[in-house]
Formats: sequence, structure tokens, C-alpha cells
Amino acid sequence: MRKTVIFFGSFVLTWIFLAGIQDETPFYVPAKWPKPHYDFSQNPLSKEKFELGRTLFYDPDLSRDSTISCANCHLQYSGFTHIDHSLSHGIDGKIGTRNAPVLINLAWQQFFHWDGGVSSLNKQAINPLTHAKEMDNRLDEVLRRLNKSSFYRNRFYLAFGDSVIETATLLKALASFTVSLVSANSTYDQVKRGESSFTNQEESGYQLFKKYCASCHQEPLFMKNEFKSNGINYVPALGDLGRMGITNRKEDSILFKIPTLRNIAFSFPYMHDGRFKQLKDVLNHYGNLHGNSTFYSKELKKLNRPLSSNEQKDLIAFLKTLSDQEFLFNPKFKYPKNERNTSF
Amino acid sequence: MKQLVTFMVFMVFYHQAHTQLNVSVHWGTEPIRLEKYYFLGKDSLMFHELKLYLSDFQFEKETRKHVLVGPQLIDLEDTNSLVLFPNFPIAEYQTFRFNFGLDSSYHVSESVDGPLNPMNGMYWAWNSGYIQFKCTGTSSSIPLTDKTFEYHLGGYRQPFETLEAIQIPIKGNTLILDIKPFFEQTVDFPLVQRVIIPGKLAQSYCRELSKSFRTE
Repeated sequence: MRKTVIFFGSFVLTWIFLAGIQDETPFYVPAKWPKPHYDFSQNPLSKEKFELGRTLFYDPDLSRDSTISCANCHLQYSGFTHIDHSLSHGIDGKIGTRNAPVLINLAWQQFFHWDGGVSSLNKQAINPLTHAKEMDNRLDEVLRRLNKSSFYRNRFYLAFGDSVIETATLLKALASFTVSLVSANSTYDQVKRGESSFTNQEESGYQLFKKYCASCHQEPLFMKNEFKSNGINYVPALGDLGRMGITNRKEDSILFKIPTLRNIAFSFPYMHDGRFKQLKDVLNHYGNLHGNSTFYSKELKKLNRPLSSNEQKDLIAFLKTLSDQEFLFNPKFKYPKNERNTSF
Repeated sequence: MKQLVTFMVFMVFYHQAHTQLNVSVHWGTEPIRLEKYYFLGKDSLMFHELKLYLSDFQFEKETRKHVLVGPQLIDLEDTNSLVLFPNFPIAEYQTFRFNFGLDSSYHVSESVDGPLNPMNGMYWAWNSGYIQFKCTGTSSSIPLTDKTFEYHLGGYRQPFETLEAIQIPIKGNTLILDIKPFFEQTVDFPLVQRVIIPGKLAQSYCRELSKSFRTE
């Protein structure tokens, strides 16, 4: 009997140990959060895939002239956006037409890009890799370079059991990294878990947030898989019709995806064209819309007056509680140190 | 001996003629060749690239059905893509149905293999989904200096879905899409040289093209 218990116990411990290794990716579903939208059955996560995706994410050889990587426009300490750049800068100094979005909690997103034109996180990476103003490469050239690299062939074999790198495995590797960028340990989260509490000012800001902002920026993700007017009119110089550019329907004109507000204090500038440098600029914008235009969504009309100076301070104090230092400085998401740099 | 040779030649011919579906894109009665001039009224026209998706074939004879699900990419540059279903006894069926284009399940599919590989040049990265019919070329009737036209017809979201269901009798084992009527009667080169986004125009163009399938 004792031998049986020892044997069974050893088996359980070994299983737990192995499961722990397999599960050694930073992705997790925080308690009380909704079910992720990402279909993990199509791309089960593993440590090998995550690390491979991370290496690819930081590799400038994926761009046409090997000068820029995904991380150029998606820096970790800003919530994986292009901090201080209103419009994203790509290859040859070319400037795009939109502010680079943050990469936070992507597993819960149904649509990608400001217009939601991309419906699959796995396929999203094709855009920056091939866009003429971003990395401007061709998929066949990316695959040629990767397949020439013994480092990558090795890593793809470890991750996918095949050293021949193909479109599907390239995209799944990149998605394994980006889908793992979970931010759920801000002051707000700690308060919700009963580990901390808001200051009076933060609590006051939270109440304002719930009254005026939460219908679009829904807790706990502070986003919504929908498209709304943000009160910014069409800018001819940018020619950005928002969601209408995807659906070609008039009712979708100048609607944009509702972004997350997590880590918002670190991800400036704001809005789809990055026109506002500070949070108070955004609040002034929303407070001065005179919300009677048919163009504005009903959610925008809730705030039909400018916020007072104190209200703004309170609301900003709350928004700062959405900053997640553990996420922004998590070493698992940083530039990886491996032998990649000498492999080509 | 002579009878045996005749029989064997017949069998080889029969086998080739009836056990695969050939696909041909025509200009009237002539199979189109890329980079060749064709007459369009008093003007000329040349195709640089011509690709399309066909999908989900269903062959029928009375109550018998045979379904061959899956996307097929037809690319005039790739002769292998012009032969579908090798060793399939097409002659045993009377009619068949298929889709001109891909239905929404393919557009939102996570698959990027084979015909759905974005490297085939049919994937819209900016607007997840595939182009159903793509042709580019030049025509002397285009009032632009480069004389080029570009039709990337696609879209799977309502109300601008471009998928067309086709049902035609099997009169032979070559499926022909004749695009001459489309260019003669639908396309207005002086006005529209480019359709590269989903919308009403892409939808109506696909509908018109779908009327020009036949078998021989």
C-alpha cells in the first residue's frame, strides 16, 4: 500500500512538474475576467513558441532592409505602442496615417487595427511585415531569411516539430508572444482583489469614470469589441474613414475601435491620429463636444459639459491606477538575450 | 493487334478526358494567355495577372451526389492550378454546383496553407479576407498615362458579399469562364480602372462574371 502511495505520489509530482514547464508562458486568464476571444485550440501555447515569437518580435531582419523590428513601433515600457509619436514611423522614416495601437490583452480582442479590419491575431502580423510604410518586406523573403538561419530552424523545430519554416508557423509564433501580453496587475486590479484600496481622489475619479466612460471602456478590460465615434472629424490629409474603410457602409463613417485604457498614462499620445499628448487634452476634447451632433455616438452625449478642473484631476488619478508596472517592465517581455544576433 | 492498340489509345484518351476537371479562362472562344493582346472593340487589352477562387464543388446525377469541399485557386500563371480533381469520374455526373469565390468560413479561417496562403497574392491583410477574382493588365482604352487596370474583387461581409453560387450542366470536362462579355458589357474603362475594395461595384462585377461559366 505504502509503495503504491509513493509511486502514485511520485507520478503526480512529476506530472505537476512537467505541466508547470509546459505552462511556463506568461499568458493567463485573470480571475473573473471573460473568456478570451483567441482560439487557443488553433495555436496551443508553449514556452518554446512564446520565446520564439518574442525573438521574432524584436528581430529587425524581418523588415525589408533589416532596420526595424515590430518593437520599433511597439515598445514595452509604453504598453507596446510608439510613445511620443502621433503617427507611427516605419521603414525609411516613412510615416503612417495612424497612431500605433498598444498591444495589451490581445487575447480578448475580436478585431485588430483602429478600423478593426483584421479579424485574426494570427494573421495580423502580415500587415506590419508587408506594409510599405512599416516593415515593407514580402512573406516569401521573410521565410527565405528565416529558413537560412540555423538558429531559427532549430527554434522552429523545438516549437512546432518542423525545422522548415512556413507562413503558418511564422504567424503562430509571433501570435504566441503577442497573445501572452497580459496586463492585469495594476492598482485597479489590486483594489478589485482586495489587496489595496483607492485614495479618495482615485475613488472619486472611479465614480466619474463609471458615469461617463465605462459604457465604452468596459471593465475589467477597459475596452469593447465595438466601433464608435470619438468625436474627431474626418481629416482630409489623412483620408481615414475608420470602420467605413472596411465595411464601405456610410453608417460606419469615422468610427474607430474602442481601445483599452489599461496603461493609458504610459501610452501617449492619444486617439487614432495621436493628436492629444496629455490625458487632460482628451478630457477637454470629450467635455467640449457639445454632444448634439448626429455624428456623435450616444455614449459621447452623456458628458454634455466640460469637466471641472478637480473632476479632471480625479479622473486622471483613477486612470493612472490602470498602470501595471509588472507588465510594463516584465523581463519576460523584454528584448531576449540569445544567440540570435550572430546566426545570419 | 490493331484493335488492341485502338482500344488502348481510346482508353488513354477516355481516361484523360473524363477523370479530371480542366479550368480555362477564355476571351470568347480562345483560352487567355497572359501578356498577349486581345481586341476589345477598337482597342486592345492585355492581362498581366489573372487569378480566382472556386470552391466547394458538388457533382450530381439524379439522386447521386459527390461533394468535394475545399478552396481551389486558379492562377493562369500556374498550369497545375488549371487541373482540378485528378482521377475523379466527372463524366458520370450530369450537373455540378460550386462557388465562384470563397464563402465567409474561408475568409475568417485561421488556415494559411495551400490555396489560402497569403503568399498567393489573394489575401487582403488590411481587411482580413481574400480577393475572389483578381485581374490586372493594360488597355489602350484607359485614359491614364500608364494604361493599367486593376480589379481586386472581393468582400464577404454583408451587404457587399461577393460569393456567387453556380450550377451548370456537365457537357464536357472543361469548365470555362469567358470574361470577354464582362469586359465588353460591364467594365467601363474610361470611368473605372480600379476596383480594389469591397463594395457595390465589386459585388456587381462578381455577379456579372458569374454568368459566364460554362462547360465544354
